[in-house]
Amino acid sequence: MAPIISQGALGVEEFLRAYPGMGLRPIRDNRVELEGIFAFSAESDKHGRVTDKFELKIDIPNTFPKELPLVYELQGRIPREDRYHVNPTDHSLCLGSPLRLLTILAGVPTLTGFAARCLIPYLYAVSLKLDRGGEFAFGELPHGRRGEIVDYGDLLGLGTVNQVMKTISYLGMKKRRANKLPCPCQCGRRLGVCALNSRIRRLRQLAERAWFRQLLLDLSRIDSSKAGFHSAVRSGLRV
Amino acid sequence: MSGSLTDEILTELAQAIEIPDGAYEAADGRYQDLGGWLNDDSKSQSARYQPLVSPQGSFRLGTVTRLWKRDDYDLDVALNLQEGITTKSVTQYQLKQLVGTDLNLYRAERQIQEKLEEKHRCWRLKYQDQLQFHIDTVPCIPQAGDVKAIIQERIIQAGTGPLLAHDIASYAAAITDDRHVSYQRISDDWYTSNPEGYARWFESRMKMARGLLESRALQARVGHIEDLPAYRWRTPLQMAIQILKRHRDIMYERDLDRKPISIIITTLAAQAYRGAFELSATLEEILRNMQVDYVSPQILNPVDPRENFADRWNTPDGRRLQLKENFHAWLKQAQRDLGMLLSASDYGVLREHAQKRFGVFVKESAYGRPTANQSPAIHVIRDAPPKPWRR
Ligand SMILES: [Zn+2]
Ligand SMILES: [Zn+2]
Repeated sequence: MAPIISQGALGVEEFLRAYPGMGLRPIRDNRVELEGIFAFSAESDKHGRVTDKFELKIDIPNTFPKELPLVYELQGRIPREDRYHVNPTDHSLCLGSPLRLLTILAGVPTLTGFAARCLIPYLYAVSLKLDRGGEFAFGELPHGRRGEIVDYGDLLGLGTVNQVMKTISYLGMKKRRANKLPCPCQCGRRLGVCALNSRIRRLRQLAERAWFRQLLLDLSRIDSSKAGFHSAVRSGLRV
Repeated sequence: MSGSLTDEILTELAQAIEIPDGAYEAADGRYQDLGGWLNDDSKSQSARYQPLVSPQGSFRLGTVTRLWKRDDYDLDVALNLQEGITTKSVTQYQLKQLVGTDLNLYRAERQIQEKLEEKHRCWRLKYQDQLQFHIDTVPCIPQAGDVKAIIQERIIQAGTGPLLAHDIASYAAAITDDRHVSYQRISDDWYTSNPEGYARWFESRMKMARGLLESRALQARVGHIEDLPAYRWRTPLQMAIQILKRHRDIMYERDLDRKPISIIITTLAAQAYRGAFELSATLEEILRNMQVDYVSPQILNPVDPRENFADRWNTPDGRRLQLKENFHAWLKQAQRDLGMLLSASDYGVLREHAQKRFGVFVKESAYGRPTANQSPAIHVIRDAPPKPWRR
């Protein structure tokens, strides 16, 4: 059947059954776009239950789940401001850092997985914030590269900016070459024999080497500025 | 929700997208006026060729839907010069000009402001009155006997009974098209068009609900349903097609050039119909049976099976617009959205859906109390969800 729209791999059908308020938009450039009312009900131990709905557009790249969908809120219920985590340029919602989202998606590589694990937590937190004010329910990251480095430090179990940057540079190399180099965690051994290597192996499956090389470039740009370092430090990472 | 309640809501939906009262009659008035004028030999050159003006397309079929973010209705009429002109005696260009000259005189006499506009196959007259529409007049002549015979044979091969096939083929007409290679030369290979044959075929599909049409005729105090124009039949098939077209109009309101065209929707729906009386059952039949092969799509014109409506999907233009993918995307979405209306147990969801996907506000009072809220499955957010971030 229809390769583009039935795409079992994407799980569009399953998603639309679970969220019938959402529907297919016309097909353009081989991309699947969904639009409509996204109704959900979610709960967490700390903050209780939230039932809400938002009018959304979800733009799914045909490389999903290797690449992330972009999500837009259409009614303007979510203020288009930094403190609500709406991108000032294209107004897409900032659901999390790319590697974090890709890591989560690797475990549940379908659209419903994306909805449950990446989208609903964000909407849940926004809904609470709109209702009661205060902080994002599950925390938030500083904007820009520093927030990204903080999140990757967390993801890798590493404590300093240098360690994170070195690890990302290794991810941009061939496995065999990186394994022979000194481990970024400063355990004094080669990467190949350190426990960090298993975490790195998992990340390698999420993206190509070129993607990590580009990431390193992006992150280095801000890292060279003092401000980047200092805020990364303030957010809990050592230099 | 009970079946009859679903039907009540669906009927309300169908009524909301029906064109305003008197619109069909107003259109009738327009083309009858044009026909009368063209038959007056003191005024028109066409008069000596027995001109017959008849509506075609959705006005003929009774499947016009109320405008959705568009500015005017298009009323297509065929102007058939029934006697005295053949492909051996005039060129397509000459026929087009003959009709154009008459229409220009008609326009002046009726004081229609806008200029006559030439299209590939027709002349367009724009009316400016309370009901906004334009008339597209397609000049044509009866198709040659041997061509009709070929068409008749092909219709029978495609599975239509011989009597109906004969009736349909008898209406085949030869039309002009300024993109035809021999547009300005005498040639016998004019394109064929058969809107009246198509309407007869469509009526034969509606007549599968025979008992229903008999009672319609009785109500209207006419002997036969054929004594009523098709738009007064108000069959569930017509209403279902209007609903499907409205769904298409909304889904494609920002992508007009990618939308599935009405002739495809109408043909497939009519073929999928099995004669149900109720609107809900009709929609179920249509959605269950309506399908097009993805790999080699074939939507044959029921009145001229030499033509495949899906051929355009495979042209450079059709591929650029992804017409095939868009047809399937639309069909899937229509199946889901109508399935939702047909099975909704939650009144609030149903109203929201009727509004978003069909552009219709279902009145709150009409169906009593909303039923219990159907809430979505509850997601439990446990291990560390992603933290919002942007670059
Ligand atoms: Zn943000
Ligand atoms: Zn180590």
